[in-house]
Amino acid sequence: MKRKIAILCAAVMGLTSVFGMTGCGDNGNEELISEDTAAGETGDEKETVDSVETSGEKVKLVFLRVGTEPERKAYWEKMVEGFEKENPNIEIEYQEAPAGDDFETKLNTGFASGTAPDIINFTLASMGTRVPLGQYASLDEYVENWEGKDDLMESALSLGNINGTQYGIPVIADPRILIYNKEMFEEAGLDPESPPTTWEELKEAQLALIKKDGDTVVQTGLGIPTSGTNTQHWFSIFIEQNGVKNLVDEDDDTILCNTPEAIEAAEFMKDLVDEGIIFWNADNADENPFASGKAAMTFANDTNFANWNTGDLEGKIAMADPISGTKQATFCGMQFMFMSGETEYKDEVWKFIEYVSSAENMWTRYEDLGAAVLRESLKDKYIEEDPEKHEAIYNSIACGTGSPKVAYANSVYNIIGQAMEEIMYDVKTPEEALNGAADKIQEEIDNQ
Amino acid sequence: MNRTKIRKKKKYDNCAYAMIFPAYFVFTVFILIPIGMVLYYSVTNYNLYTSPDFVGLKNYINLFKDEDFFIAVKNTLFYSVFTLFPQLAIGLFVAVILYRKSKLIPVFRTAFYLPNVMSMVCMSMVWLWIYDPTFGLLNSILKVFGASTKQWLQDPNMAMPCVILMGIWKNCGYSMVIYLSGLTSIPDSLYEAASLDGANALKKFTRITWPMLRPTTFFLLVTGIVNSFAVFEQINIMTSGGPLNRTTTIVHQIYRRAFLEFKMGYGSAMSVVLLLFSIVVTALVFKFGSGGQDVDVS
Amino acid sequence: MKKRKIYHIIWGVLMTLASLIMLTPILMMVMTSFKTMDEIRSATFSFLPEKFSLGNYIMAMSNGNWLIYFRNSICITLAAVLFSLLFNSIAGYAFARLKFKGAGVMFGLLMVGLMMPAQVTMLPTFLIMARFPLAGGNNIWGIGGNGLINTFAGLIIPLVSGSYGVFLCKQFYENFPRSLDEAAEIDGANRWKTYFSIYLPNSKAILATLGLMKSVSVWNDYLWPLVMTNSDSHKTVQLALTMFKIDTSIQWNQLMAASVMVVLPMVILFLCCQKYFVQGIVTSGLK
Repeated sequence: MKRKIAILCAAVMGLTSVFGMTGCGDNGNEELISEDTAAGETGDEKETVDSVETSGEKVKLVFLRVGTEPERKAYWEKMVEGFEKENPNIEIEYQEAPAGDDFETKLNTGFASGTAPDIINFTLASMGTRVPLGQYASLDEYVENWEGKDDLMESALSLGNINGTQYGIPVIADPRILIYNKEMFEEAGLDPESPPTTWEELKEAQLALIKKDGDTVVQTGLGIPTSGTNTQHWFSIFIEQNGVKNLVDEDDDTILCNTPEAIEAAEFMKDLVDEGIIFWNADNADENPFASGKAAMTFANDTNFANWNTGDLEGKIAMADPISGTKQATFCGMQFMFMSGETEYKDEVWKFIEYVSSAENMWTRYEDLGAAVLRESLKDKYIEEDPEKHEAIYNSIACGTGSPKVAYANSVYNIIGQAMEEIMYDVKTPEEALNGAADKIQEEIDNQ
Repeated sequence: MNRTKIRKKKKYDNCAYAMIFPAYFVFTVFILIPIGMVLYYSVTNYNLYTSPDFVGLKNYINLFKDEDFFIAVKNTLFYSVFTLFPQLAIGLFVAVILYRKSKLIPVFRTAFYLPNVMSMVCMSMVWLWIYDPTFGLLNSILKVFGASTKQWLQDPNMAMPCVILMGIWKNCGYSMVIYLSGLTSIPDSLYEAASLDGANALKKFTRITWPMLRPTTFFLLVTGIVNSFAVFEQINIMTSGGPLNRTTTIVHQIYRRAFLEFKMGYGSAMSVVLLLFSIVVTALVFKFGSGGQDVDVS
Repeated sequence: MKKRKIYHIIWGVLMTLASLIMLTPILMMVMTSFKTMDEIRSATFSFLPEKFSLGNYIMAMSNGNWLIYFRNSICITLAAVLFSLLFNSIAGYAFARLKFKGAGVMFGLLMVGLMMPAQVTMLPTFLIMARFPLAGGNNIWGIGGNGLINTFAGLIIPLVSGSYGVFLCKQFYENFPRSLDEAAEIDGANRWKTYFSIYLPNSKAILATLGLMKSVSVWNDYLWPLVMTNSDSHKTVQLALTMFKIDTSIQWNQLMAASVMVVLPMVILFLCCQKYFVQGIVTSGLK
């Protein structure tokens, strides 16, 4: 028995000695890595100048796309093929990884080891944390003379901009559109052709749509999620409708999530929820009560709409313009094309981004994937295809604001998510919860 | 410890080094050195990208101010205790019941072990359905009996028990199989002798089965503690730590801080605390649990 | 006699019930793999599908190159399991039977390795892989290329290590009768010969057990292949499953059909191994 304890003590000691050793070894490793990247950075400009144009050598770029859906993969492979045909001296290696945490892990390991992809297709939410680290390169020098600059929707392009520097070119929008169930509206005696446009109307609709069987709610109006980090998207929708700019002001780090307007928005949400609560976790989009016919309204994107518009709900659901509290607004995520801060082939990377963002290929994106167009010149053509739906989508993007692009963004999502849970589960009042959240965010800012 | 060893030993076998070399080499390069690197990161502000700066014990000090971390420690302990003991008890109970001659044994054994073969990711998704408040299996059963439905994973008080239930389901087959193998090694003669002495079934269990199974229990405890301290996958998929942080665990916090908030230094400090914690608990198990059968049976 | 029979029947019924409860989630998975998406989404729960058709299986398997994914997973699992069985059992034997300086410390360190969750060591291990000298375009200092990233070697080698395996084998060999060793010593066999001619042939039970457990963990591993592979040609089956888990909606029926296909090899492996399985894990089968 004594021997066993001795073994464990020895183990701890051995570990410390190993730590001593590997600490040094690791330092060496670290230095080597940073040397490597430093070499890449200083050598950047020279290499890009003479890399392709003079030598006839083939340049190989790695393109990492977010998501693993087979249809989208087919589209991106088509883009790569078309691009390689136009640019025979550039070869693009297509890679993909599942959306969400897995994608973050993939990028983290890539950047940590100096093997990051050259072209990255990822979300708006990643910008805040990755731009300050230098993982995404500035695209200003290219965007300046680009024809698309004036044609892209202003709101979409500005989402890819931090402090006047353009880092991302928007490709696929993820707007939270008001989607509602016409049949339920009709049953509740509401006009299925005039969905709510203001908070007052929303509240009225909520009261009319709720159905209870004894104490259990069998149907609610707007199915607001009660847990999960993604509840912060819903909170963003409501505060922005109440005239608040964002959760945090990106320009000067002012915390806005506990302003009187924001608290009012949270109180309004709580009010709606309390009329008829259906618990669901926003992180599992599959749980959305709208999909199972237990909620008459939801905020979701056009892909969700397409998925729900089959089976039981087919033909019964419709999209509507964004609601306004004091201001018409909604949350709008976005997928961008980013250029890696580590790439040696900036010009070539831009060529691919430019190719993907051309009006023609944007239209292909609509035709193949149903993705909303983001260019003014395509707007009329796009809306003509399906006036009712596409106008709602387009308007939602036009007035959409995304997550705050700040270095501590990922902490903000978690903190706000937790505050929303505290509100929904009656642990704290909206004011207490949001003030608490603001304190925590301030701590994160101070720690930067 | 040397004195006792010298008394017993004849000579050192140097070919032992050659024998452990292959396993130890891979272990050193891919486990020990990474652990060393994690120790190093824990005293830096490494953010996964820029080269780390030394910050001393700042990460450890911050840890003690981190409410979420304390909740995570509490949840992990709760999970471990309430998964491990029921799992061992069910495993032992089923093993004892199954230990007899019947053609059906392989069928039952398969049924109990099968959950352990499945991937955690896939099974977590199936259990999400079972717990779904709208069309989940559990609520459907409750409805049939006319009982009121429950929110399961959405209910802060039920979420952890729900995750624990799934953990027990997944692992009790493993305990059962290992106990079964322990049972096969108990000589029948012991039971026969006990029967001659007129011992009843309960006495046989407490006097023969349980003491003889001690090494097995010890083995299951050590591996079980280590596994349950590292619980992560099912949490991440089923609840992502919520609602109200009721199901967040240490590894879940490590993952969130290190990889989603890019605080690798801070995450590493948590890992080191988890490691020390595991070492202490395992040492206690070694101290109080291993006396007896597993040493020097020869 | 009659009483015994009644007991036996009660026992059988109770065990059948318990087994059914244990199998329910798995059966749900199988049943769902036959349903249509409309059936899955409908508000009324039904256990059985309306009709058993293989449509989902055909659909799921025609998406992507499943032959390649299965080939990759099988090769990786086979290689990792064979090497780890050999390495770990030799090391387990050495720890159990041989006396050497530092044995205690070394075994203690192995136990420490058991306690570090894979999520934590994943990043450092990845860095080592990316900076592996003289591989994938790296020079001798590990600079210049991608190292072992996106190679089968990189996927397999770290999985070969296993504290658990050494621990299990050590426990097992400690209960081998010492007389066997002595007999071998009298015959003049050295340690290697003793291991290969006496210990290894008597280790079927432990090797089958450990082999199955290792296979299951390698086969079901998701995180390591996720970070290590970039191209479709190196994907494993677990990674391929994410194809049906789309952020906005999950193709449950196809996902479950593909999951059933993915788990099948492990179930078959278990059915093959199980007769060795119970014969002895912690304590020896030799008496």
